Amino acid sequence: MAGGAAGAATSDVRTAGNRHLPGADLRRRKRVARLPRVLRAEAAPVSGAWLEAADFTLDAQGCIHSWSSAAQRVYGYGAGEVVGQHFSLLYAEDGIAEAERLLVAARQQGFCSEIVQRLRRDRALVTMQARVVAYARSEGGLAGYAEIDLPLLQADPGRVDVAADRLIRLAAHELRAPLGVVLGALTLLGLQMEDAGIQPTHGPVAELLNLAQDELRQMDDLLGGILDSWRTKQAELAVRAETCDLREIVEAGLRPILMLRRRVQVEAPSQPLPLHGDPVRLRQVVRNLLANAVKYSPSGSPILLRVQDLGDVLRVSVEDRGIGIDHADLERIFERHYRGRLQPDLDPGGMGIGLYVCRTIVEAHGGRIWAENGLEAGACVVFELPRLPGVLEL
Amino acid sequence: MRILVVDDSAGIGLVLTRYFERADHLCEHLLDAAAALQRLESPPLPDVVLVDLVMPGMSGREFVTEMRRRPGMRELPVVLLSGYAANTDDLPPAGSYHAVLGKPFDLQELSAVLVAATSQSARRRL
Repeated sequence: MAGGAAGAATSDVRTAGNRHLPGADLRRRKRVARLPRVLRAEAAPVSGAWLEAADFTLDAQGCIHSWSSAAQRVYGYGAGEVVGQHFSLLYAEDGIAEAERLLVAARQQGFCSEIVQRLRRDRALVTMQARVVAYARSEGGLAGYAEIDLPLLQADPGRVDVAADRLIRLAAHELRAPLGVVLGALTLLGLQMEDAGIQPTHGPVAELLNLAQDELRQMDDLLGGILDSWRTKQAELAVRAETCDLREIVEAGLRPILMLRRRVQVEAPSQPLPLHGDPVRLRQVVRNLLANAVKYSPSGSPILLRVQDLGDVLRVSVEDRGIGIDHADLERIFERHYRGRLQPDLDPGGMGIGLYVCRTIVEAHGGRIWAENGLEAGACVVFELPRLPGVLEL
Repeated sequence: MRILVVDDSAGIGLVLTRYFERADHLCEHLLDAAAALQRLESPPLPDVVLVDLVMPGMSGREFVTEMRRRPGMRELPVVLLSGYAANTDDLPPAGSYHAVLGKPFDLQELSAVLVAATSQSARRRL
């Protein structure tokens, strides 16, 4: 769709001696973006594609504060129509949450750059590369945001991204929800059989019930992995810090593993371990590490979970008596989608995302995570978190 | 124990209701948060509220925030059910709830969390 206009603009750009349109700095990009005006006097873009950066500013509430003439040309709204209105008017009806998410991301990181779908005044959807920077007042507090949007000329990858995002969220939500219901219903069925005097823990019926539950849990793990993988790719694993107790977090992370009837030996101080961190995400770290230990060690073998107070840092380690980690893989297993080298008959399968997510979360807390092979056979994964509030950034 | 479940999934509601009934609890399930707020205006009050975070209309976060503003509900134990699409931004302010359970949760895990949330010490900590 962009062929005609982009082609015309590119030849114009070349005469200006700028061959690196996408990489040009903002000032240069603006200059480049203005070039097609020369053309506009006597011609119009062939396909409706354009090469202008729409810039506008928002106040702290997300309402449009200023609106450039380029923004007017790109989106079709005049300044009088939009100034004072919340900028979610640039989104389709279901996009208000998405608009908020963009601002939250900009607030948390200071800036954000995302591919978004926006709605023009003529109700046409356009795919934009949106860059948002948050501004603070000199006396503190949020002043507002500046945003510059460039149309995505390579429309296809952008479309795929937006479409994939929708699809993945849909899959994660629409598939996991019924999965949870079925899992619950099966558990209940087992309990009701028990009530009726049928032994659901032994015999062929129990075997089938357990099989169905195990398979469902595996499906859920995979879906969770897909969602985590996507979120980390979108740099969207938000971390929200508050004062919490590491012992409680570890306990909560441990609970679902105990349901798998695995023996976990816990060594932890008896007093609370206060920490500035995100309890939901940290619980996910503990859960992922324990799930790995379960996955890569024989079913009867013990797992050791140790929590230590080292003064400035708190340390958690998970050790198993399993197959251990190839020395060459000790660092690489924390890479995205990297999976250790395993003999096929020992490989329980997976997406190679669990430890990557753990590293992302631990590092966002200013901590570190590493793997070693235990004193006895098996692997040991350790993470440390600073007690003082770290830099919470992803 | 009297339990109020607020979740837009009828399936989750049914499974939880049957599960709690089996343990001789009284369980009420409502499909949306606005209706739940209205329900809380008249006695008998539940001993614990289980709330889904992501719901159409009023979200779990809005529900808990609004509920805590009402007299007599500052200490009512709340356990959040966080599903699939939930992010940390969906959580209500720290200290306004007792626990968050990821979906799909194990029913036995849920029981353990409910017992912990309704204990006196947990109430006082809020």
